[in-house]
Amino acid sequence: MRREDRDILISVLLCAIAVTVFFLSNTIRTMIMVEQSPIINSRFYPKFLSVLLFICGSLIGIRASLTRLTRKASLLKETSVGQPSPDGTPQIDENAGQMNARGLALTALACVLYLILFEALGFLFSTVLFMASLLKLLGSKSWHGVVFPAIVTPVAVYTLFRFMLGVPLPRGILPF
Amino acid sequence: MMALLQQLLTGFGDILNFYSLLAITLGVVTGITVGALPGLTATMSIAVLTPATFLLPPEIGIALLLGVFVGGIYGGSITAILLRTPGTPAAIATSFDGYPLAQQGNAGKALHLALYASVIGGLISAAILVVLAPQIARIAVRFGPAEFFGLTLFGISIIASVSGDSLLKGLVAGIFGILFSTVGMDSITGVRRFTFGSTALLSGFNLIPVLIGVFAVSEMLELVEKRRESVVDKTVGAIKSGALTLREFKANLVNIVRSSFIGTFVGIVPGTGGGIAAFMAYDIAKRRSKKPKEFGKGSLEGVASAEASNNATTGGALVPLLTLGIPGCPTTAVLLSAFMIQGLQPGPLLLQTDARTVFALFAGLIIANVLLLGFGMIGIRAFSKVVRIPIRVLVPTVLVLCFVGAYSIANSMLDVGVMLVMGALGFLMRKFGFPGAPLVIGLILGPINEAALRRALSASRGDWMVFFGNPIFLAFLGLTILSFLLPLIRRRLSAV
Repeated sequence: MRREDRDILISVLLCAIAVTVFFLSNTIRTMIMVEQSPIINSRFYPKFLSVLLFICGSLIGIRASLTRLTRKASLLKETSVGQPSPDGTPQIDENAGQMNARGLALTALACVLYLILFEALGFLFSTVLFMASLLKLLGSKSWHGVVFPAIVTPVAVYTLFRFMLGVPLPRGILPF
Repeated sequence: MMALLQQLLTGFGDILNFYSLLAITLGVVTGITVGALPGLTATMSIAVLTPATFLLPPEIGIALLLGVFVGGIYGGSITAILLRTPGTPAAIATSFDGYPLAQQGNAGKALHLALYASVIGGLISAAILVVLAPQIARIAVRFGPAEFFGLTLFGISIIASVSGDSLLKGLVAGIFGILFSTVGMDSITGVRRFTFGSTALLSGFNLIPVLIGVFAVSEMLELVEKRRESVVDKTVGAIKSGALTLREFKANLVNIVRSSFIGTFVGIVPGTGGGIAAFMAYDIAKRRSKKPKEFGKGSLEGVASAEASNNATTGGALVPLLTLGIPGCPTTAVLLSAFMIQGLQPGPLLLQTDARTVFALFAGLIIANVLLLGFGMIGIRAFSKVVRIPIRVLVPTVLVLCFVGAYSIANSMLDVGVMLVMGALGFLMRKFGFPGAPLVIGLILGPINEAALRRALSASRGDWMVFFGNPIFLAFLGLTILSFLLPLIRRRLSAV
């Protein structure tokens, strides 16, 4: 997907969010007697911001559409004179996106699982599992390269927060 | 002046104890380490460390974060000189002459001069902060809601200068930040806004999980996506140390002092930061130099001017933060939240209500710069090696700290969930060209701005002349318009 196409999609999304926020703002209660103003009340900021968001979203879309039109026009001009069409327009970082999409998805999944298990299993146990899985996922090959940081980091963080800073962390299934 | 000195001495008395010094040391070392790692920012490390400081007394907890701030700006110069890979944007100008010097076998000379210049820059800016902050606060303390509305409007307008390539996208991020700040109970009337029946959302979004998500989690996800072995794929060559002579240092002293003043005053202007200060001081140093042709090819003057000025922005940036409650850059936005969770509200009243703590922090800033000198001299070699930390160890470790940080604010998994969602949002924003800093600035300043507007109108019974008949408000409005227009004018000029 090209940068302009992507920006047009973002623009549509932003305008949709803006419209939703605008209508949701109408459901906010107001206390005009307290606030002395029929306009500037608890609804004003959300409404005003939704209008601004709509304007900015639309401008992003208009700018992207204009860039796309200009590019198409120049492409047509180049091909009409029999030249190859060197499409040098900026592309969305397809390669960057594919660089490590699997790693990114699995890291996100590990974070969600860690979120679920953080309190249930307790900090120490869940963190050892989280660290070990991420270390393996991100390329640690040797067993000591996984086990050593996966145990040392949670123990060090737990000691620092629980015993030195007095911040309670979930114990979960462990007695301490 | 004597009263000021007395307060500063009391500040030193409060902060010169084992725990405070340990905290500042930890902060400076963390700051240099993170600063040396290209892609990782002091903003990120302050966001991650903030929750760890909220159970500490403010003068210890915030002094630690100030240590990170000071160390973080200097740390960027190490990799800028050794690898031509600036650890922070503020160190880009340092690499112009630092790297050629390293190639000529003068890395030790460049690193030591960068360190001395940074320390002098930091100390001069801290001194200006101590003198200037109480004067500005004395004026600002007379501000009413109308002036505050103008002031926060100006604060929000720095979104324009931290938006990077696209002002529109920066504005969108800022709007989202202010919109997020409207979630919860309205501070004026107490009515619910966008809570969708949830009691958990009544108090709105907790600031720290949002900061950790936007600045730290998103950075980690980006590192995973880039799939690299370590932050920098280059190796550090040998550092010949101790080569800087007293004569060379003396020759650069005037340049360092001048650049320190430039850095401090640039730092005071919201929306500027170390990068702009370094370029400005570098340019002036070049024009004033007897050997301008050496600039860019390995000039010690170039390194000294860039480093003195970028470190001097630390004290400068704290002036609007502490006296007006306006964060001038993403790092001070995070620092502002650190003050808030300590129960301190940066702004004109801070120097009246918590003067002792503030002066202890001033003393802490000075000590942080002195410690920077010590640790910089001892550990240049060690800090230059941190770039080889494997991503596979760095990412899970930082993510664990993010989880612990978000959880420890209120022992709530909701905060951890918010952090993850904001991390994902921050990552998508980075990917699609939306800067994260405006979102945070909107989230912090939005509610203050809204409350000031509504309080002023409520007091004037809806009469708008409360603003338009107020010269201070009009001055801030003018500055706000200028602040939005300047980046556009700059872009036009650079396009011509």
